[in-house]
Amino acid sequence: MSEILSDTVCLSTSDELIQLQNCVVAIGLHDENALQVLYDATLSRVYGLALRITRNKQSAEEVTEDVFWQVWRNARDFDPKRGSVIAWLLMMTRSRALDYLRRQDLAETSEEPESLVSEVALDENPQDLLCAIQNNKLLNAALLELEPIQRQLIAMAFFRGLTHEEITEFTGIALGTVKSHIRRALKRLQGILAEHLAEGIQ
Amino acid sequence: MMKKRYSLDPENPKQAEQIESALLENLEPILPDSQQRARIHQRLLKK
Repeated sequence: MSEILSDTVCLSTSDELIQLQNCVVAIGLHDENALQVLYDATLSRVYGLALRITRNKQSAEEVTEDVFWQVWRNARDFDPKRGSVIAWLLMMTRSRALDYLRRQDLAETSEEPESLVSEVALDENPQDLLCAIQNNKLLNAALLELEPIQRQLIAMAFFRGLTHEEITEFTGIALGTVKSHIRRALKRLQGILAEHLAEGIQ
Repeated sequence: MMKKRYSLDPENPKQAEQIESALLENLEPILPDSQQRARIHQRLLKK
């Protein structure tokens, strides 16, 4: 299933994937040119995700810088058997950006709140899943088939890193309802994507 | 892969990871403006 999904929804061509993979191998040998190539090829994806999560340009810059610094230091940890370079890079970005957000939230309770005001560089809500995923028609259509509440809960967990308990606290929706909405949504997305792939094959 | 924190479904992380990856890999990119690009680049070079 995992392979089916990544084959279905990944936008990168296999040539690009191989090129990025070669870059990471070279970065592991401390090749600065390879880091530059990876940086040029993936900056907008890393920064874009960091901005959607932090909703602040300066914070997104800091996260982006941190991610590429981690790539430089930990390129040897990349294992192609466990996923693509893009997946590795973006999972790292999401994790770093959510950590950053958590630290900011802690600071917000004791420091000047005005310095932490969100600065969104987009016309639309950067955390609206339908707006955030427009290029991939299949995934966009799958998201569109979810109930709006399911999409919103998935977006809260995805972009804000909220646990089910935190979503309950934040929204006032019962924990059992949050869990069942999210699980149903994940199951539905998997089903729709698998179904579309099967139709494409026939 | 570094993970398991911030899972969409901590009780079924493997299953959730498939959708997380699909969403991550298909987000619309946003290019930082030229000043931001210069700042990020500069700070990385210093390191």
